[in-house]
Amino acid sequence: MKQIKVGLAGQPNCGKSTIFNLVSGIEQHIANYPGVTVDKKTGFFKYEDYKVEMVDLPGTYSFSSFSQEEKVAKKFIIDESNPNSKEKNIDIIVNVIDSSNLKRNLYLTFQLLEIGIPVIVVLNMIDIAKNRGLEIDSKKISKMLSCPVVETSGSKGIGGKELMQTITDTFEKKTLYEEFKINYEELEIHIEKIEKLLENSKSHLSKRWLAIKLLEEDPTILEHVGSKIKKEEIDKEIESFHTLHDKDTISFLATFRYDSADVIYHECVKNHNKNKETLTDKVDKIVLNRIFAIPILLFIIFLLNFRT
Amino acid sequence: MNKKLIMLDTLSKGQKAKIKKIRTDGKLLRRLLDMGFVMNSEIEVIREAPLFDPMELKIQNYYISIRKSEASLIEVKI
Repeated sequence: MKQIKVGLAGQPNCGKSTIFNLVSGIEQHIANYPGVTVDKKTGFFKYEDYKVEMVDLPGTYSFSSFSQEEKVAKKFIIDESNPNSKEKNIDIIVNVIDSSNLKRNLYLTFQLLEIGIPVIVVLNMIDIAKNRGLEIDSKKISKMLSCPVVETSGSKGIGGKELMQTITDTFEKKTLYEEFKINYEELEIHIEKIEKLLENSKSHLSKRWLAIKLLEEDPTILEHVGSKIKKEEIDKEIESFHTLHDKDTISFLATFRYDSADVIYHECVKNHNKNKETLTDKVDKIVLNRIFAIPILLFIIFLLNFRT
Repeated sequence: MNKKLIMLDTLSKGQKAKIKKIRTDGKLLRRLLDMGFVMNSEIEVIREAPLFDPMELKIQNYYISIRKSEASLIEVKI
């Protein structure tokens, strides 16, 4: 029986755990607020002729190393893609996206695509996006990101089978994997220089990805490359980029990724009711009214306490 | 009033602006960037809490609430 190892990544509250439960049949605790999964959780299950190991990673807005969740997710990717490790290597990253919040979610997608491990994008909560009048062209997104895209609605149990099919297909066609590359324009020359410095590095990870992360001053990656590269040399590149363009690398990369997400959004999403209020908006208008808010709050507290 | 640089916390409900600069560093800068507070992104003030802090904003097509102390570090152009 073939074994597939899948990592589930995505921003907080996008439905990673719901997708995990949907395809694995394992009941993991889910709540309607972000940050429920703080450590990674692993589940094993069978699908057709495959034994699937699925790792539910904590939600992260970004893929740097500045919060505990990000460190857990990053460490997982580094450790479990090492061919010398005893653990089975990760085969596929499944990036779960909240379809009704596409732009911010794509910001993480770009960072996952750069790692160099095949990525499958899951447009979750697609029903909510549709209800809000968003028409998403998933084929076009797939083409632009050169990776498979699956539409799902975890809470309604839609799309699980399609996702598993895509996972096995991607696993079998591994050799056809197309590397994704953003052209960072003026930063490219600095990325190349760092890549050169990494030439003798024994790291199993993509040199380009390491170089980009080093320019972002990522402490986990700096530790990973260890003594092979001097911090002063990286600082020199960051400094020279700053003097040449009057921008710091961290803000430049973030802006570049959001701009790229914006391009995808405008190409692939049609908003049919731009000015229509959602139900939340309507409720907010009443309960968050400057004059009525406090009386409504007191009334609800009164109801809760004195209904007996 | 046009083309003036001001800090985000001074905007009031319904006003729109473009982000120009964030005057902080470290973790807070990273988090703000990750949440979409990047150069030239458009921002709209949705509402303020009853005691004027925090404030709810629309950015990158989603809603976020931030403290006034954080908003006062963000330079915008109306």
